[in-house]
Amino acid sequence: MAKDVIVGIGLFAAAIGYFTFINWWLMDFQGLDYWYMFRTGSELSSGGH
Amino acid sequence: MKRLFEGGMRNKQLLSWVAVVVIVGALLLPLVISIPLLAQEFEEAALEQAAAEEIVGEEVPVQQIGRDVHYGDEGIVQGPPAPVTSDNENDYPRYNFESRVIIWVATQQHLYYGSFVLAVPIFVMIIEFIGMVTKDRSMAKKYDTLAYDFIKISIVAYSITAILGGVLVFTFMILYPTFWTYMTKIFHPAMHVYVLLFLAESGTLYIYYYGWEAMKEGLLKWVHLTMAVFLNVFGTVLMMLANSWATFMMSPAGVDAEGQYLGNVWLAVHNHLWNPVNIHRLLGNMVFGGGIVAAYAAYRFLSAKNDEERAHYDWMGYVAMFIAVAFLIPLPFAGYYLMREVYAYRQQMGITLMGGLLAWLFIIQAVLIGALFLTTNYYLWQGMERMRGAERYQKYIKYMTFVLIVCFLVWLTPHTMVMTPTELKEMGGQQHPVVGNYGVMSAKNGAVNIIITTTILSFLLYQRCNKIPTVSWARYGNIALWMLFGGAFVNIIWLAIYGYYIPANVRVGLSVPQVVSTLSCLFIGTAINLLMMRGAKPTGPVEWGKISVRSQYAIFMLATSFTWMMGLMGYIRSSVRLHWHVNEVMRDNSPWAFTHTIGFAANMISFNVLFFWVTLLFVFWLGTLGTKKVVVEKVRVVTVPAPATSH
Repeated sequence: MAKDVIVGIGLFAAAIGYFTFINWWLMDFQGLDYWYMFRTGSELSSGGH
Repeated sequence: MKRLFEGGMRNKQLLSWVAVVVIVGALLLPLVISIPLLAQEFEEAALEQAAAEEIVGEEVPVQQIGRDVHYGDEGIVQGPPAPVTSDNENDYPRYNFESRVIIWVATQQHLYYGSFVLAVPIFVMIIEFIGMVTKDRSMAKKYDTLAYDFIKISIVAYSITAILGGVLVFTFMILYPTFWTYMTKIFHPAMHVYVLLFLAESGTLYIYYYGWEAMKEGLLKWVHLTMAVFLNVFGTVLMMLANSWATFMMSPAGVDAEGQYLGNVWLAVHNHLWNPVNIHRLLGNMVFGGGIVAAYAAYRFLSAKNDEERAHYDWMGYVAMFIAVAFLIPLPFAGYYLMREVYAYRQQMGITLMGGLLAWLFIIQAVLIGALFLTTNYYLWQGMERMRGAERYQKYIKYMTFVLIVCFLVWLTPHTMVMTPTELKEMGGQQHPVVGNYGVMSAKNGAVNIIITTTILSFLLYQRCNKIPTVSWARYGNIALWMLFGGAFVNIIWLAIYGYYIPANVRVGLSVPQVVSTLSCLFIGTAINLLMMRGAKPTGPVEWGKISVRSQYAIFMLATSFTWMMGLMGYIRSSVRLHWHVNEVMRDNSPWAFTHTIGFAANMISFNVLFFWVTLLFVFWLGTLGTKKVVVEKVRVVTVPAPATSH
């Protein structure tokens, strides 16, 4: 059971790592900055009005 | 030589093979001849004209140069400017009725049938191929019969499509002669190719259908499959040519600002929105065709007289549904691509579509898409009833239903509400302070990706519900699947929320990683699932036919929704031109150059859907005629030897 939990945490971390990578890579591919909010500290906006 | 025949193939087969090659070659011949002719056509015409003028001693006039309205290239003007029409009997002859409504019905009906007969041969080809490579002989036979059943339905529909095509052309010629003349002046070379392709497709289809029995074995079967490939190539090119006319009207190219043709038909065909519409329509046709065939199977299932028939049509409905859903999953992404290109072409056109005059129609579309995915999941969950062992997964259905419903509600929330001034004042603005936050693309992109990912999860559960994995790493495989889907859900929701914190020009890019998150679940999840199911212990066979009647009504719901949505989106795509026949080039000066109310449009779409389904029932009925005869004959054979013991 403990092994399953460790494997689960490891795989979840791998999944998050994978998704973070594709987020960055695909935004970069489009010439956009994935880390925009973290770099500029922008605040809550409209979400697409 | 004799050894070759004995060892490789029989004389009869070889002769048939040669005959088929000759026939296909003959069908292709007009095309092969026409392509170089088309390329030379304008050059030769110009040379002839110059020579004729030289003979009579006249000066060759200076050629007028025009600039392509889209590509910006210069070209020699080879046609008159786009006609300036006015509201009279010459430009717009009419019956005592709105001409646009007549053309609307004619176009929509032709498109419905056209989509159906273009899609069905594609999956007939796939199913026939699966049947040919399946080692289990009884399964191979089943696939072959299924493919034949599919093509049998489309053969009557094909004739109706051709008739409706004729009706459409005559309607254009009669009701919009000036516009039609202008279009033919530009597209006549492509129209000639279209006609030749139509002949080639018809010939191939009829040989393919009527040659099914004669070409059922050996090399001839491969020749038969090759014909299916030809058939689909012809069909797809036909569709693409017709698409070029519709997209030219939206995003013209190959003409100058006056609408004067610049002599290169390829530029007119390859206009800005051509490929996005090609992709969207191809996928849409597959979904639509799958839905229609599934509805046919559901109809036959409900009217089946015995378990054998019920089992066959349940299976047929499942395969058709599988195809429809397989193409439904990428369809919204193709839609996004199309819309992105619309915005890239003319931002105002995109705003008219999604943020202005036609935006409420997109809300209706959202409701339909949500309903489609809900119903698809419902059908899959009902389909689990066919398998023992499925009860292990039924406990998850309620959670998936909850997720789907919540996302559905976010997905269909409008940006602004239709309100009275008092209501507007009470709410403090057009946007609701809480619910209004879900009416934006950040929320909607997240919602639709969660809906699609949940549908993929339903598929994976369905795939494994009558199997127990036996691979040593099954436990970790399950954990990996959980973590993959969990990670994808977290990422999609994170990106949806993140969209509220960044400006629009950055936010728009987030839809791409969201889509890739969903597709990762599809490809990686399916791969892990299939690897886990290798050598799995079955909990029992799939009991085809043992499915609730409700599931079959769900199929009808799906097929009708596809039809309605297709009508709706067709109307939206066409009406975005507003008062233009050809956007910014040829103005529509008929009395009907206005945008109808949503209610009127909805009624028209419903009428088209109803008309299509009533005529399609006729096609279904025709499809049952041959089969009934076979069943009766079978019964007769069984009952005659022992009449006293039978009922």
